Parts: sequence; C-alpha cells; structure tokens
Amino acid sequence: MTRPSLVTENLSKRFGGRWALKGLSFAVEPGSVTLLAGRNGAGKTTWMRLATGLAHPTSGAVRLGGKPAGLVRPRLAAVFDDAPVYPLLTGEENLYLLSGGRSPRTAEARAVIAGLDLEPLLPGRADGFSFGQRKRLAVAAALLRRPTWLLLDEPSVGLDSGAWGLVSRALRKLAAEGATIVVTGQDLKHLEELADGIVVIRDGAATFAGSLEQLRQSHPPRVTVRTRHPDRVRTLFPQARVVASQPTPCVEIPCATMAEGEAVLAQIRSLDIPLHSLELRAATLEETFRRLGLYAEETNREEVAQ
Amino acid sequence: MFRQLLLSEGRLVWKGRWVPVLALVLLAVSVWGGPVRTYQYAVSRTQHFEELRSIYQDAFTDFVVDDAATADLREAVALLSPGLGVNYLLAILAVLGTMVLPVWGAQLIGSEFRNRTAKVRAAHSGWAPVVAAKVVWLLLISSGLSLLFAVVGAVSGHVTWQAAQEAIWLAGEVTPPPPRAPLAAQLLVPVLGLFFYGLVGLLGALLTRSALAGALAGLVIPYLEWMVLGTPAWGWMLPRIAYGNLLAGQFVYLSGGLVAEPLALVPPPSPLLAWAVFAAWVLLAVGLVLAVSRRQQILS
Repeated sequence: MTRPSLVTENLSKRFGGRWALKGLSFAVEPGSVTLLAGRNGAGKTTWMRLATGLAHPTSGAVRLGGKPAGLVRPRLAAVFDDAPVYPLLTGEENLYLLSGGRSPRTAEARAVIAGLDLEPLLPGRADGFSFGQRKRLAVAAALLRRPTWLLLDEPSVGLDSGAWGLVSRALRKLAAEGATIVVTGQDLKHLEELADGIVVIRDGAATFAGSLEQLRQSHPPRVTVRTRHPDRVRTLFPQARVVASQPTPCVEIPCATMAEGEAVLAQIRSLDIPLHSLELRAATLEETFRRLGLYAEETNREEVAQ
Repeated sequence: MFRQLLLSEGRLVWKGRWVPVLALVLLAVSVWGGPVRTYQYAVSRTQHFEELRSIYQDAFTDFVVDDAATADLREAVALLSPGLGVNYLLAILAVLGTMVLPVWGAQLIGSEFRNRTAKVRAAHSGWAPVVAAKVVWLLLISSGLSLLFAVVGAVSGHVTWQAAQEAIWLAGEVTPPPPRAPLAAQLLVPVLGLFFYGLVGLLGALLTRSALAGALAGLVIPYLEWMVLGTPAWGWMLPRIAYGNLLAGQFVYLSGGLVAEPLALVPPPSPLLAWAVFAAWVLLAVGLVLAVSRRQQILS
C-alpha cells in the first residue's frame, strides 16, 4: 500500500465557543483526487485554512509528506473559493504574483495557460474579469507552482461546463503526474467525475472516508416507479416508500445489486398497472448525499412525502 | 526563495502605481513649496525693498537697509544656496514624508486584505515572509525617497542660487551657514523617520486588516503621544521627541523655509543618544511587525 501523502490527524479547531472541526482524521494517497464533502458549515473551508497553514489548529495537525505546511510551501498550492486577484494588474502580472513569483512565460507555463484557455486574458486588467475567468486564473497560478499538494476550495463554482472541463482535465493530468489533490465542494455532479476518493464531514468529523465506489455501494441502486397505483407496488415490495405524491405518486424500491434491480423491473411490469415512468438507476453521488442527509432541503422534502 | 519574494513585492509596488505616482507628487509639492516658494518669497521681499528705495531715493542721498530689516530675506536667500540645497529638501522630506509613509505602509498590507489576496500569498509563500518582504520594501522606499530628494536638492540648490544671483540684489552679500551635519547623517534621518512611521502604518493595517485604519493609526499616534504625554523630562526617549532631536541636530532651519525647527524638544543627555533611542524604536517596530505576522491567522 502506498504511504499517505497527506494526513489529517485528530484535527480540531474552535472559533470562540463553536467547534468548526472536532477530531477530523483522514489520509490521502499520492496521485489521487480526494473530495472533501459536507454541508455548508461542515468545516471544509476551515480544514483548507488549517492545511495551508493560514490558521492554527486548536489540536491535531495536517501533515503533508509528514511535515506541516510551513515546511513544504514551495511544493504546496491552493485555490480559494473567491479566486481573489489584484484588480489593477493584468492577468499575466496576477499570475506571476499569485503563483509566488513563477514566470508565466516559460514553455511549461505557456502550456498550462493554453490548457486553461487563458491567453486572451493575460494582457487585460483583472478588474474586468468574470468570476469564472478569475477562477481559471487562480487554478493556473496554482499549477504554475508544479505542486506536490494542491488544495482547491469549491473549484467548480462559477465555471460553465466548458471551463470546468478545462480545469478538471488539468487537475487529472497533475494527479497522473503524482500530485495529491484535495477538492472541497458541493457541486457533486461535477466533482464526482474528478474524484477518486471522498471524505464526508459532518459536525466537524469524518463520517465516511474511502473510494467513491465504496460510498456508492453503501447506497445501492433503486427502482423508481411513477404510478397512480402505489399501493399495488408496495404490496409486492413492502420495503418500497413513496417519496413524492404530486402530480403522480413516486415509489422507490432499494435494491442490493443492479441484477436485483432488473428482477424488480420485470416484476413491476408483470403487475399490469398503468405506469408513468419506470427506471432503475445506480445511486449518483448527489443522491447518496441526499440519503446521507447531507442536503437539508432534500431530507425535509422526503420526510414530508413520507 | 526570499529573493523571489522581494522581486514579487517590488513588482507589486511598482505595478501598483501609487508608490511612483505619490513619490512624484510628494517631490513636486516639496520642490514647489520649498525652493520655489522660498525663491518667490525672497524675490517679493526684494521687490518690496526696491519699492521702498524708489519711494525714498529722492529724500535720501543713499538708501540704507540695515541687517535687522533684511535678516529674514538673508536667511531665505541662504536656503537657496547650493550648500543648503540638500539640507533644505531633506528637511522637508523628513517632515512631509512622515505624513505620507504611514499611508504607504498601511496600503502595502491593507491592499492584500482588501483584495483578499492575503490568503493566496500566505498559502504560497507564508504570511511572515510576505510581510518581511514588504518591510524591506518600505525601507527601500524610504531610502530611495531620501536619495531622490538629496539629488533633487543638490540640483535645485544650484538652480535657485543662480536665479537668486540675478534677481535678488542681496544674494551676493549672503554667506550661507555651513550644514549642521555630514551628508550621510542628513540622509539617514529621513530614512529612519520615514521607515519608522511607515512601519507604524503597516503595523496598524496588519492588526486591523484595514489600510484606512492603519493609515489613521500612523498619522494619529504621534499627536496622541503629544496630547497624552506632552514633553516630560524623560521625553527624549519618546519616538516623536527623539525624531525631533535628530531633525534639530542634523538640519539647518532658516526663516522663509517651508519647514521650521521642531518645537517642544527635550534634549537627550548626549546627541548620540537621540540616534540610539530612535534606532531602538525602529527595531522595536520591525520586531513587532514580524512577531504579529508570524502569529497572525488569515481567516478571510
């Protein structure tokens, strides 16, 4: 087994009387992308600040290659959620300054800049950049550092699908070169395509740490039926539950495997009742999160329906 | 790595534009308010005497103006001499600069918080090294301004003296007093003074995370010090009075000049102590800035 490249050890941080993190522990292997997920206020951004050495932990530590951030800074890069820039400077000057003095004119830097489609922005003043453009600039500044550890806070926010495609490709390439990447965020639709592993934080501690596949397996596929006869379905499958009643009742039947799901589909068809829709789907990360209760609004909706 | 950081900071200072622009404005104000206005004053006083001469010429065979009547004119003319050109502009810088440098010092740090770039710089380079690089640049700005003012003072001394010889009949009779201190000492006073008050502004911005609050702190603290403590017998140990002692000890102040000799001073037991005390204040300010930056958390 590879030695972890980034270790978070019993990390706690208290702001006044409130614990932002409370004994968070997880490890990340080199050459991987790990998603740090959780609801707003779960402690993701606090972890980012502690990992980059911007804040001091109340107890515990984050170690990068066995050392605190302060001792590995030249090989560490970070992208923050608000992607700040110096508004009066050009894109190129911002790249130089925000990357910690790395030249944006080397061949390697040019490749990074081209990969993120930033050439047109280099001569322009940054106060005219959109949020998405600033985000790409921040990612480029981080990549110019050729980091061993790259930490990104909400990297997909503000990016359209084209821009996110450019960013995720660049991140994948960096991970393939052996870098350890940790991303935080709630845009799970985009992030699950990028991440290999996931750490779920709740109330300041990790409730799950493993691969995305392991997380999905812990929340198996389900068959969803929309019909005006939900009782007939529930007679056949007592474990089924109605998750929405308007306009047409929707019934979900959890299955252990996809094969079992196929069998459930066949049985429902044999009921010979009118169906508005019938589908078997593997759980997406977003759905898994809803089931874990990490999206408050979705949880409430389900509770009301039941 | 620190060299790279210094280069980055230098580019930020230069590309930020406000340092070169404000330096030029400060220089323009100083040259205009200093040698140019003093020259204009001397010329207008001379014209006044010329008017008196033309009025009374008919009544007297010879129009005599005694030394007491022309004393302030002689002093103003002396300020225009090449020997005091550097003295005059550096004395102006040593006063006006302490009002500008707190704003610059505060701006160096405050702009990082305002733009929210502090966290990126801190994550990539460490906050303490970033702040240390800014402190070095503050010293370089103070030194650069002193050198610039010295060079401009040397040039303006020759220009104004030449002009005075032609326009002011008294100029040929004026023997300017010698400078009170060697050039190096004259240069060092504004370097230390500007650096110190710049550090106060920088420290204020570091603690409050605001350029405005930092600048106000740098500008208000000397007045607060004066209002609260006044001029006690041990006052030569206070930074404001220690700096005043240095100014009075190194520069020649004459009437007709833009700046006057500092008042309410408490002389130290030995002139060297004024240097030691003020240098200690500068070192204390540097130490405080570095200590705060090492412990500071960047949370936004």
